[in-house]
Formats: sequence, structure tokens, C-alpha cells
Amino acid sequence: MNENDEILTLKKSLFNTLGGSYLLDKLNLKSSLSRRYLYAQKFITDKQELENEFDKIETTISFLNDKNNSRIFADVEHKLSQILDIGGSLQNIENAIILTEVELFEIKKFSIITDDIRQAINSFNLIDFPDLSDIINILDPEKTRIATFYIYDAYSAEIAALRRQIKQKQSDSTAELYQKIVEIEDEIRRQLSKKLQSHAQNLKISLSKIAYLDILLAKAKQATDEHFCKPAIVADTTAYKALFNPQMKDLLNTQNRKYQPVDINFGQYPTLITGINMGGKTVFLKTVALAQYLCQYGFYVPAVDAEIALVDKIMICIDDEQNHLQGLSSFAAEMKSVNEILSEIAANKRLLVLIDELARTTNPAEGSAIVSAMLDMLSERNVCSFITTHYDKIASDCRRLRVRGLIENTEIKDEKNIEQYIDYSLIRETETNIPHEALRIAEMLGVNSELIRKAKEKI
Amino acid sequence: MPFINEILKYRSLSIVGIEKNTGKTESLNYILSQLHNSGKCIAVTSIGIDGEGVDQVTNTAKPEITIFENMLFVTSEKHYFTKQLTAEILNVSTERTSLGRLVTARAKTTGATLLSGPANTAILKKIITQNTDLGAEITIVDGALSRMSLASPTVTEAMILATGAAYSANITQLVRRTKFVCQLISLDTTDHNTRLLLADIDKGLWCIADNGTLLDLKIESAFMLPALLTAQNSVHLHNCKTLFVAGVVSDKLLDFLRIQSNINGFTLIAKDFTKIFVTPETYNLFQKKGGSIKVLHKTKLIAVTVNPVSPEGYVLDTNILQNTMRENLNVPVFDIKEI
Repeated sequence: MNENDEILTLKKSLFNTLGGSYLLDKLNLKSSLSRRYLYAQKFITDKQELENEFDKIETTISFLNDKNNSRIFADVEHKLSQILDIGGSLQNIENAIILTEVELFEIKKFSIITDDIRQAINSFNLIDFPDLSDIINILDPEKTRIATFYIYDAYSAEIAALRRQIKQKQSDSTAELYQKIVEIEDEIRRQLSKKLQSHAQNLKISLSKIAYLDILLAKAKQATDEHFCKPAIVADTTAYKALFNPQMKDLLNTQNRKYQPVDINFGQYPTLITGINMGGKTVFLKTVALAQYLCQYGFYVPAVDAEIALVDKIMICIDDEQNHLQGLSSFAAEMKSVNEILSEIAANKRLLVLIDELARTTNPAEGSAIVSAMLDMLSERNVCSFITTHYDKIASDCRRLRVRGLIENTEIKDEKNIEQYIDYSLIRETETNIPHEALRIAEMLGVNSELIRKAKEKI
Repeated sequence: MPFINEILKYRSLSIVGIEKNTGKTESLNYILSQLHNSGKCIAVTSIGIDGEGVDQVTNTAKPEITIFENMLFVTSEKHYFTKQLTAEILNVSTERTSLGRLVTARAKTTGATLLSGPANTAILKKIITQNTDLGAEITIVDGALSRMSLASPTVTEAMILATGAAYSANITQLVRRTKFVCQLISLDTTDHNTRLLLADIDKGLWCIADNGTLLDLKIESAFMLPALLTAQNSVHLHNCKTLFVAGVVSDKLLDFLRIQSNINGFTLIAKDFTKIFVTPETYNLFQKKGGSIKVLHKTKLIAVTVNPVSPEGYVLDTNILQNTMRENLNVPVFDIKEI
């Protein structure tokens, strides 16, 4: 809940704790510099900006799917993998520091590879790269267009003559000659660094464009591989068809188990979710948050179809170990979070609020009162929000959904894979009483039978 | 010189000193001076920090490496900037060492430089592959202080061992100790089928039955003996005639085997000689009882170079030293000060 930073970059956001870092790790970036740019990606709230980005991903996917292009893109990816992060050298150019031979080499290599990439994908009109031919000309006086570098003989007739002298061993004082060469080399490096200064901006733009291309290709590939869809940006009601959690889906797949996607739509109002234990309520909240983050960081989303209303901020209150580490009791930490949410609402921000089992660590009488009150406030202020609960008798006329739960009349044969007996879809709930299936689930889990028998007697 | 042609048969060569100041750098300089007219593309690098103007351990003068025109060399940024030759940069590594990234360059003129290289053999392997891609037919690796690991056949195919008065100022002792190192380097390899069988195993102790079946003793490392020995695998170990040790072979392991089992006709297989850390005494006892050691992969030992001068100033009689070495070793022996 500690998202007080004005600029919410991908690296800082809660996105990573929701299974986002799982997707980022799987993102097949070719250049080491791209991750730096990716982490600096801002949370986008501008509809046009996002639509442009999604269109770009769509175009890229169609290019990648065209077999005629496969060699071009394989070549581009190979070139991207050779790109060095010249951020440090660029800094030095801007600070008018004389560049070393190694830095000049890096800049030349970067410029040549970038220019190769520019030419290779020119016809696709994906990205406008600045023209780096001036830089290449400065650093390639012999016009070989090979990505190697030294202070070429072509830079100075004097240096060429001295080197010839060393080679022909015309002088006994090689060390002295070399000293002279170094002095001239220093002067040439000074001139080259000065010449490059006026091109620093183009290099900087190229560097970010290269990172952007790398990220775009990786996003397009991931969208295809993971079966993500292009979200449509809408004004009010978000609607997902077959929304899924990629990490959970992969995990179940590796165990030969099946993941059930969920259909959901929601608008500017609260929804109360009830349902049995192990019904996937927490995963559902996390997935809704993840999809919203993915969309607003410019990625395709994990669903068959998605219409998404943009928000200014996503606020999540899901109990995990992090809260306890801050030295607060779970109730205190939760109340602090709720307070933050309410003050953000007061600031008139458009929010997506996701609260898992609000007030669960306190007594049911007061707990359900807190839930009811929160729902009322979210309702009055038209906040797009979800609260899950196990409490009975929540007094609020908000929308209620329930995890359908245990499939009726099924005999449990395999208590290790309970998910095959659960229907995870969300249905409209008309009752205010929540389903009583905790004991049945406990039974299925093989919990001590005496405990279950005694508990049943007490109901 | 005789062993130069031998060197050119291999894709990679390490020069390893048995001790600091045994003349490793002189050996390297000699080899480079002989190789540069061979018509082959030669690459040179080092492992770890080495080639300082003055040896930081004993404060004796250390020669720089002379790189000849058209040779490739790999050194850290720090040493690249102090080189005494003109060179064209071909690549810069993404990995960093304590002296900066590694620069690969082609010499445009002949001149001296200090060499420093990757700190571990994994990166060194990458560098050797890179050099091959850049056209090098052989990469010569200058070894750092007591880093035998780079001479592993998984890193370099062939090696030259530098020994000398710095290791021992007593000729008899020097020869005996050098002979033992050579003996380990020259251990026989197993047969082809066994090598295939064990190729992908990287930890544990494994019994190999006569019919070639493998049995995992479920002991990750020999260091865990005898603590992890159960009644069951103890029986296996006692009946086993061939044991593969994927990790380090130590004195403790040899002693354990010698005392616990009847090792007459017993063969211990190690990955290669760099995994064997045993003293001559333990090894001899092990052999005497009928045990033998083989390796999966063997490094070609091309020559032994001797340096009769110790850093403390002892000078051994080079003729006696060379002759005694030759009588005891099966490889060419040279005094690096004389060749």
C-alpha cells in the first residue's frame, strides 16, 4: 500500500508482487539495457497513448507472424543482443569528458548496429530512428564499417609516420616514439569527443529507441505465446472474458492440472464477493489488479477479450507477510491501508480498489459492520471496487457475486486436486447468507474427523 | 624450438606456475616470440590479476608480456590503457573484473602490455570461444598464482608447467615434487564407454559395476564421508571395484578407502587432475595397496620449464637441474633463462 510516489514506475509498483515480476522475468529481452528502460516505464492514464501502444503491439505481432519476415527479425534480435549499454559514455560526452578508446569503440559499435537495425526494419515503419551516419563517419575514417576501433592512421599523418617508424624499427627508442603517439592520440580523442558532443542527443534518443524496439518485440512475442489479448479502452464498464492468472495457470499446467478462467465485468461501484474457502477469491483480486497494471503499463492482458476502463491508481489490500514485517498487527496494518484508500477517494482520484477479506482478523459482529460501512462509502462515492468476505449478513445493497463453489453431487476421490471439484465462476448472489461449506472442505482436506464431527454438532 | 610445433596442434594452452616466480611469464614471452612467425592467428589472455610491473607478493621485477603485431589479446580496461602498443579494439565484455571490463584487441604494432583476465574459468571459456570466433587459432592463457584449475581440460586443451627454485631450493626435492604434479597430469584416462557414461554427472559418488551399471551412493561429496555412510551403501562401497568421484579427491578420501576396503585392483575415477588434491605420501600408499586413479579427461602436458633462480636469490645449477628433471619426467624440459 505504500505507493505514495508521484511517478509510479513499473519497478516501484505493486505490480511485481502480483505475479507481474513472473511475466517480466519471462519477457525475452535481448539487450541488457532494455530492462533498465522497462523498469522506468510509467503508469499510463492517457487513453490515446495506450491505444497507440496497443496498435503498435498488434502491428508487431502481425509482422512477427509473417513467415517472410522471420529472417529479418531473427537478424534484428541477434543485433539487439550485441547492443552495449552506452549510458555511461553518453553521460561522459554530455559532461565534456574526453572519451577513452574503449568508450569511442562502444559508441561506434552501438551506432553501426543501430544503423543496421534501422535499415533492416525501415520498411515496417515501426520506429523512427535518428540518423547516426555522421557519428559513424566520425569514428570510421577508413570507411570499413566494421565495428572495431582505434585511433586510426587516417586521423593524423604524424601518427601514421610514427607507427611506420616503430614497425620498421628505424629507431632504437621505441618507448619514446610510443610516448609521442600517445600524446597525439590524446589530442585526437579530445577532438573526437568534442565532435561527438553535438550528436549526443541523437545517441540518447537512439538508445531509448533501441530499448523500446527490444521491449516491443518481447511484448508482442509474450502476447502471442501466453495468449494475451489486445484490450479496448472504454469509459465506464470493464469487462473480461476468460480472465486468467498466467503464473497460476503455468503452475497448474506443470502439474497437469487445469486452470479455470473467469468472466467478469464491473463499473464504478463496489462488488462484494463471497464463496467457499479455496474458491480462488484472492487469486481473482490479484488477477484483476495484474490485468489493470498490465494494461496501463502498455501490455496486452491475460484474457480472451478485454474492455478496460482506465484508473488513476490501483489500491490493493491483500494480507501477506509484508504487513507483518512492518511491526504492525494485521488488523492495524489493514486499517491503515483502508484509511489510505479513503483519503485517496476523497482526493477525487479514479481508483480501482481491491480488498481481500476486510476486517477478517477481528470479531464477526464488528467485522461485518466494518465491511458494510466500507461498501456503503464505496457505493456513495462510485468507486470501482471489490471486497471479499466470509462474514454473514452484510447490510449493504451493493452488487454481490459468489464463487459458484463445489460442484453438486460429486464424490471426492482425489483430495489433493480439489480444484477439479470446484466451479470458480462468479455468479450473482441473491442471499445475504454466505454458503456454509467450510466443514465440507476441511473434510475433503482430510482434517481430523473428531474435530469435524464435534464442530458439526455445535452448529 | 621443439615444443612450439606441438603447441600449434591445440586450440588453447595454459601456462601454469607450480609456484609464484617459477618463470611463467618468461615462458609465455618466449612462446609468443616463437609463435608470431608461425603464420597462425594467436590470442593471449590471462586469468585473474597478473603481469604487474612488480610482483606484489615478493617484490621482484616481473617482465611485461610482449604482444606481436596482429596477435589478439584480452586484458582489463585498466591495463589496456597503459599498454605500450597500438591496438584495434574488437570487443568489450559485459562482465566486470576488479580492473574493469575485459577488452579484446588486435595489435597493430608490437609492444608490451600487462595482462589481466577474467577471475573465473567460466568467463575464460567464453573468452576462448570468442577468440576463436574472431579468428584466433589458439588462445594462450597466462595462469595466475597457484591456479591449477584453468589447466583443466574443460578449459584449456594443453598446458606448460613452470617450475623452479621458488618451489624448492633443493634439486632432489624440487624434482620429486614436480614429478608428482606431472604424474597427476599424466594419469591415464578411462575407456570411451565409461567416459560417455559419466560425462554429465557433476556431483556425488558413484559405483560402477563390471557390467557397466551405475549406482548412486547418494553421497553428494567425498567430504561427507564417513558421516553419510549407511549400512546399505557401505556394502556397495566395499564391493565396488570402480568408484567415480565427481568432485574433489582428497587425502582423506584416499585414506578412507585404503583403510576401510580392500583396494587391491580398485580404480578411482576423477574428472580431471585439477580435482585431485592429494599429497605424494597418501597417493603412494594408495598405490602400494593396489589402488589406482584414472581421469575422465586429460590435459596434454607439452613441456616443463624450469627457473633455476629463486626470488630469495638462490641460483641452482641449471645443467644438473635440467638433467635430473629429464631423467625423471617424460616430457621436454627447458630452462627459460637459456632458451
